[in-house]
Amino acid sequence: MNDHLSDEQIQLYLDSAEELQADETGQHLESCQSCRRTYLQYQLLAGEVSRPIPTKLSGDFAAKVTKAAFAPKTGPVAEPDQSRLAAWILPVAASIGSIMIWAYFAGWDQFWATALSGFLHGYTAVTEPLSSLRESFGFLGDSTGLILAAGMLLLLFGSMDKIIRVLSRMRTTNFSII
Amino acid sequence: MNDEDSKLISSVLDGSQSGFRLLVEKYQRLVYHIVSKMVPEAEHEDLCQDVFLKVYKNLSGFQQQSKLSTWIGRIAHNSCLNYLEKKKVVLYDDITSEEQTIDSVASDHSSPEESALASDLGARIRQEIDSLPVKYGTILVLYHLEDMKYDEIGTIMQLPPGTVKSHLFRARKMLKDKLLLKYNIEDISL
Ligand SMILES: [Zn+2]
Repeated sequence: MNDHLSDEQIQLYLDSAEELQADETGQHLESCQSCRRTYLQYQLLAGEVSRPIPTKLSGDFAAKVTKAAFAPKTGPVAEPDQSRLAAWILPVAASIGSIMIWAYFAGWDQFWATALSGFLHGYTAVTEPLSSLRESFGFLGDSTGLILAAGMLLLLFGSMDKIIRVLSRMRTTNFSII
Repeated sequence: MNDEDSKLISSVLDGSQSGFRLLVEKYQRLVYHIVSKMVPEAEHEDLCQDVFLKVYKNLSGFQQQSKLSTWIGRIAHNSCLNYLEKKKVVLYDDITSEEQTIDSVASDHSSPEESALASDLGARIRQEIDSLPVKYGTILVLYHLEDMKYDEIGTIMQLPPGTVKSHLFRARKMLKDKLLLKYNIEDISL
């Protein structure tokens, strides 16, 4: 009876008292008042710690959470970004495109062809389609060509915005859970 | 995983609202136990709701070989850690330096009225648990109130089972010593 139980031995006994009823620790606890006192303090503590804590959540917590989880996702998801993009990118692109086409009809094709040939595979490859385009529409004259080209491009870019919106809506629908 | 949980999960994945509600009702106590030990009271309801929304969102990816309770518990624990990280609360410093460890965040709210109410031993002990390091309080609650085993607690808190055990033992010893020191020794000895 010289050695008292360690704190760990007492706590182990506390957690598995039923299985260890007859072991050495149990025998020591029966005969040693000091260790038994510690054990009983732990037992009291464990009993108190195991008492349920009142849950301070609102009474309809489960209903509230369920409602939030199943609420339909409101509003198109990525639309704000895309319309902001469309608001400045599309007009700018249309303007640049119109100026380029106008420049071609005004006879600046030599300049463009030279500039582009650096990147493409040769002068003729660039000028051939351009020349045939001028042959078809050249009769319209410079100003008419400009207006027509600008109108066509603006129409195209303008509806691009709507095409993107329709496509993104289709995508969002596929991903929604319910 | 048990049959009841499997059925619950299937029903939720099939879009059943009542199934999800049952799941929340079944596990809200567990989630509350973790959240209430880790973050201030004002955040309990919102954080518990966040946890269940994450559970709902990620349920299809749940690996059915693990227990639903530990999976949900882990989401709750991680959500609290994220919250504390955002609030810049350092939690898991070296817990061995007990004197320096940050006391419970959850206890920040205990009012003078609550202290006055702590007349019985149970209330005193709960107050002392709240003043333990957060990690210790969480382990105590999971072990004694949720009846979880070391490895289950370890899964939730991302700790080896042996560490869970040593933290649990140290937490109870700290609690016992604090109570013996603070109150008349006769109060808690029999
Ligand atoms: Zn002894």
